[in-house]
Amino acid sequence: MAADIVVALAFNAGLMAFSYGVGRPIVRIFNPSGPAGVGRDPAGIRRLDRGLFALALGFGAIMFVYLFLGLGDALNKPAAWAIYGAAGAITLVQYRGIAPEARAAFERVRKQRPPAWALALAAVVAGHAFLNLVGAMAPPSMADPLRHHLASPAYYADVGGFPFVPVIFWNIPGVLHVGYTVELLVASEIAPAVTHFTFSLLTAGAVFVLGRRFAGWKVGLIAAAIFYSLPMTTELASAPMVEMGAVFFAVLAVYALLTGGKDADMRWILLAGLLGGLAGATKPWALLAGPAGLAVILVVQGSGVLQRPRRTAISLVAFSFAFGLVLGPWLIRNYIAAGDPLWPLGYQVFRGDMWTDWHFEKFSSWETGPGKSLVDFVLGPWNLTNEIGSFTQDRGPLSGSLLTPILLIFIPAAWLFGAARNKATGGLLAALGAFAALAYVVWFAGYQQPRYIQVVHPLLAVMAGVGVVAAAGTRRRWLALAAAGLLGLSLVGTLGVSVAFNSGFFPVVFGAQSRDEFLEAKVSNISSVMWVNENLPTDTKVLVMGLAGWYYFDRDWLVGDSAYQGHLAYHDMASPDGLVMELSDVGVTHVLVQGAVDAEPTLLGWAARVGGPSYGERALEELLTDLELPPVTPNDFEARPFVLLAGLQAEGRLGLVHRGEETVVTSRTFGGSESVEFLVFELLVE
Amino acid sequence: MGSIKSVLARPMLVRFVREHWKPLVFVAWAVGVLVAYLGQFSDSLDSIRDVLSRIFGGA
Repeated sequence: MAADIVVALAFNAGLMAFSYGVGRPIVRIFNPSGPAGVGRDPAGIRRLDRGLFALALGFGAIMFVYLFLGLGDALNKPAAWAIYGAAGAITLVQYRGIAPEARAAFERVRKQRPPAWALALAAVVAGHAFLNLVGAMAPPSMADPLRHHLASPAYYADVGGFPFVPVIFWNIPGVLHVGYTVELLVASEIAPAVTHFTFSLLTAGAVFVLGRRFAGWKVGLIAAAIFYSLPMTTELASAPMVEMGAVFFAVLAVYALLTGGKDADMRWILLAGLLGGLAGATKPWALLAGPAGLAVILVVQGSGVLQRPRRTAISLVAFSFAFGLVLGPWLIRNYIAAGDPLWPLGYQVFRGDMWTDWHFEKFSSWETGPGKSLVDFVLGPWNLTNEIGSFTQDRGPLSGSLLTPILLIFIPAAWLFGAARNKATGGLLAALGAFAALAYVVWFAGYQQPRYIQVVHPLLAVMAGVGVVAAAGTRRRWLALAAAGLLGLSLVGTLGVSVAFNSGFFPVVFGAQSRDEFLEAKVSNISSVMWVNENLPTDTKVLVMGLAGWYYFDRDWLVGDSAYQGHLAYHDMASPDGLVMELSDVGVTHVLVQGAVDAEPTLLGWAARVGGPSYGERALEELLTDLELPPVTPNDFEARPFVLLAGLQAEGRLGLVHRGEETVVTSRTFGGSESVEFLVFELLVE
Repeated sequence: MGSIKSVLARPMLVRFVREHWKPLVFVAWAVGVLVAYLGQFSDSLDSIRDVLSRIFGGA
């Protein structure tokens, strides 16, 4: 465990340094400099700003090399180290340039004499960062990484490439997934979370430079503190998710558009397109950076859109071209493999292979939030702040989706106190507002999961930062004190949230709790995964009926849930014979049915859970007869594999080998869990 | 003490509101948001107590 942590930290330190080294010459190729008069820094972009661009482009470039190696099935340990070493060599070659830069930056920081409030804000960010880093150093326990963000890289590392795998979310663009694959190959399972944590800090840095450039350093610092203290930042920064990579690229893309968009400076627009593409290639919801980036171009060019439409058109095309160029490899791979560049998200348009109307209906019927009326639309920001429980299903307001009231309180203050009248700040607010509004419209029309709109959080933090500074700058001492008090209270409150969230990771990270005890307490259904690992032969292949803990399987395994995969066409199987043939073809030897709170621990109990109560009430013979017709509803589609398996069990071709107890974790933070039973079957085929 | 109407009609109050309407609007807005924000936790006090208990060992 300690060795894993040290390796993870060292590998990431190298990866970030080498990303900067690789990106430095790329930034020079673009040679971006700020046009005089733009923002507060007419001399051009500053060292930190340029460094963040270099790091983003360098990281993207390194990941692309790994991606192409993987697409050619040549991503193995030696290749991974060779590329890492080559990136290191490129960085070392530039030592004579980088060393004086680093010394000058250090000296500049050393000579700074910031006011006490600025130091306090920096201390808050440092406190959050320490807590998040501890969380990142714990064994992965969040559900999404165990299901896809780490599970798919683990598979890719195992097979040495990026084959098309028809499991939902496994083929969706993933710049960080490429990095996680490399880290699982050569570093440790802690490394991906440390990478994601690093990107959370880099995003705070990007927020700072964006605010500083267009509204002053105070706005930048306050915005960075607001963003980094959001509970969602806390929840994400300490886990191997991908959102922080996406928002880092997206914020820099907005910076680039604000800097060069007005004058249609192609270098900045192409740079923005590449960064927007990297954001979209990191997280599907960050694909919003594409249309939102176009909206920003239109806003920053303002009246120039009508006066010089050709220039605007060229800007839009250039941004779109660079955006698509980055996404190209993933889109082309998915299109060739399944006829849908965004498999399976583009099903409605492309009707891709290995996906069906039942899959589509199931996922498009997901709903959360108070509703989709015009009133709900208008009240969305209010509800996201003050009624977050209506977006989190049964989890209530105390979740990672919780926002702070600071955003809603201070964003209107930016306009109320006249900050928008300043040309640069007004342009900043208009552009960020356009980006956020477009993202909000798309999000509102779809599944209103709060995390899916996280890409706008850094931008809202900048807008709120403008509001805080505007309120504090009204020459009314009481108002300045009130603004500072509100901000301070909010930051203290969110630091408390971070302590509550991350305190559960301290025992395992500092050796007071074993890895197994930690996983048992934090990961749903981990007991069934461990039972399979410890009790089934090494040449086993397990069909997993359940969605938890996939990353921790040591045995060969296959996703069995009908709705989450497209390799097993249960809907075409009219009898258990069809299932036996297909399972035999793919080498399945065992079936694991994970426990669920609302399911009887039997195959037909599971069928009733996903298909409805009638599956528990009708005779098996009747259910098997129904299989001769295609499923009618998505529920029938989901229940079908369990009916098929129950048929096999009744015929004696599927034998129960173990029934065990495990827990479903209802809250990692509050420690809630419920006991359930899991089942392990052996396929008895002659 | 005059009636409310006469108090509201006093020139000083009118001038005060006219000069400070922006901070007043802001404060009203901030208080409204804060009250609504804190109100959403009214059903979660037990959960908050559970977390505090876990962190501070029964505090």
